[in-house]
Amino acid sequence: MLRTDEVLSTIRMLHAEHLDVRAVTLALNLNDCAGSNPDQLVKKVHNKILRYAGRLVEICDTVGAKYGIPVTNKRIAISPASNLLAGHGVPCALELAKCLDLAAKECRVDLVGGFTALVQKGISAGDRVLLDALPDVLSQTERVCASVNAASRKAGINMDALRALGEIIPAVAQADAANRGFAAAKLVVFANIPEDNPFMAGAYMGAGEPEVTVNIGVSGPGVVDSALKRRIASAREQGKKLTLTDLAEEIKLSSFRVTRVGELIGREVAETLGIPFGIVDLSLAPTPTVGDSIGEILKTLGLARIGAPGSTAAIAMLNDAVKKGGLFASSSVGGLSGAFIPVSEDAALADAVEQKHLVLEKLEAMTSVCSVGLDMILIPGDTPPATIAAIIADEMAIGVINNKTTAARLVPVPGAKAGDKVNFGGLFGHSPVLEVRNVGVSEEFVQFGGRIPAPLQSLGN
Amino acid sequence: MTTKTDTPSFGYVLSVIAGDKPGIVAGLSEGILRLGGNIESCSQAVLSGFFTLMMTLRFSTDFEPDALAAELLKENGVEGCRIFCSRTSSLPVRPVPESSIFMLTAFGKDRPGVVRVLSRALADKGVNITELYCEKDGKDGFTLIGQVEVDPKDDPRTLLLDLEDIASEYGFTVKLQHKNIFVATNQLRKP
Repeated sequence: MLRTDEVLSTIRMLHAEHLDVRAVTLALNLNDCAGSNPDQLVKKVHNKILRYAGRLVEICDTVGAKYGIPVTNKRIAISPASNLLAGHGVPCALELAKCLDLAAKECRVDLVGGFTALVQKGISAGDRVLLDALPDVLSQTERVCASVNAASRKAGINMDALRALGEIIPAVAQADAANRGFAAAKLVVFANIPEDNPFMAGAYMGAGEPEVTVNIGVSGPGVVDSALKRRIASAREQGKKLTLTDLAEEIKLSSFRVTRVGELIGREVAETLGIPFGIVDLSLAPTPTVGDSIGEILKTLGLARIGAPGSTAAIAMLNDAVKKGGLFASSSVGGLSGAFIPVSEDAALADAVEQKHLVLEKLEAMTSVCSVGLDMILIPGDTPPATIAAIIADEMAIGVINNKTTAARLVPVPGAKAGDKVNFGGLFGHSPVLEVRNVGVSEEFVQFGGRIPAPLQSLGN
Repeated sequence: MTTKTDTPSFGYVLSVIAGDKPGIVAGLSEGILRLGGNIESCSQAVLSGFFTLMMTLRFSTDFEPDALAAELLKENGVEGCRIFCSRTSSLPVRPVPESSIFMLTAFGKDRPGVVRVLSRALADKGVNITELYCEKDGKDGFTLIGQVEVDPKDDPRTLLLDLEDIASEYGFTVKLQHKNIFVATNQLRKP
């Protein structure tokens, strides 16, 4: 029998603390659509997506209503598009992207991910076509998201790929200059990309996954922050001493509950669609909404300024506790599963950048212990390509050496300088442009190219 | 609970109210044991200082309901209680389909008629209330939690929309959610 306090705490979590199912992502393998005829290729892709994902939104809405929890985003992730592009050219890549865009629109999903190339060890013919097409694809489509895996624990860091991306990322932004380079927000570069990530822009269906599956991304920074605030207030009221150990325990409990919500929704959506359930990604994904912020959690943990000494330790504790709580809640945890710190998508982080409390270098340090990386970082539009490549290389190194996923989603805003404010709207939020220091002095390092070898697997200190 | 007898054949529903005090349950259960009965289910709560209890019982002896109540009132601790007793055979029961159990929650500023409008709306739609808890909280607020059965063929969204219309008119908030969301978020074992 449910207790009254249990019912009320769930109600509070769902309705007052911004808990939602952030993304239900249907992952679909499109490799069987490959062919030498571009028209047939895109027709097969369109038909297959409609066949599997045509009812996704309707079912998500029905299941969400049944449990009284909104499924905020419904999305599609495909197997790497580069697999379909070998032997084709940029025009075919653009046609494929437009087909994905149309199919996503017809399925009423907001984004489709998997315009992806896996180049950690080298760039294949299909990868090259995809990379060359990115400026056109991301500026001429609305819903298509792209990702590039440029490094891995086993392969090292492909500096040739990063050198190319140093040119491609500003080109993508420039191609969408009318929207202040927003197209670059749909491109993310990874080290150790997860095969089952439901979150955009990095969602794609990796090797070893089934033909089709449903992956879930839950959110809940607001739930964690509220739980911490209640615990702290209660201890103060009772005159009890509270330690960070106690607060980590509170985060675990919240993460447990959030994960359970995601798995319940995900399994029912998958069952109704008649396809296997994949994973719950229990990442704390903030939104620009006040009260739904990782930055606010850091403040609750006692850091008056985000970016102050202690910020990295606080993020580390948060990230670890989230994983522990989630893993106890479900045996199907996957994806990124940790705390995101996307600057423009988190109002408190964006504010810390504006106050100059949070700088690029500190963000990089924090990404060494969070679940993703330099996410939604707006940089000056005139940042040299080699500097962009080098920023990404630093981020890749953190992932490769520490055997974790890291990523970089940088938006060089055309014409913007450090401190300029940019508003992308919606979930993408707003942020000042961050200052990039020491620009233009990484050229020689980047121009060497080649591959930074895979790291040692032992002597891990 | 007492040990179940091999030939129980007479079922009763018991309802007890009293000003709350220690020893009521002890007295009742001692009386039931003395009369050879077994407690099959029980729900007890203290509401605003009043003791309330419901029980289903089974006996091998065929008691008249009023006689059974009178016997139980003889026990220490039970004196002063009001006991109502009926045979279960006179009260038709129907099974509760687990898959269609939803939790109804409502909260807001208290006023007379909240329970009436909600329960009437549910009854008019054939929705059964299987558990109900409500309480005034703070100075003038109320919280209501009900467990209700919704026909699997019915769309809970439609029912919720109707309830929200009523809630809006009366100035409170209402939610209707499948029970499993509460089980999933509060209990270790998955629903």
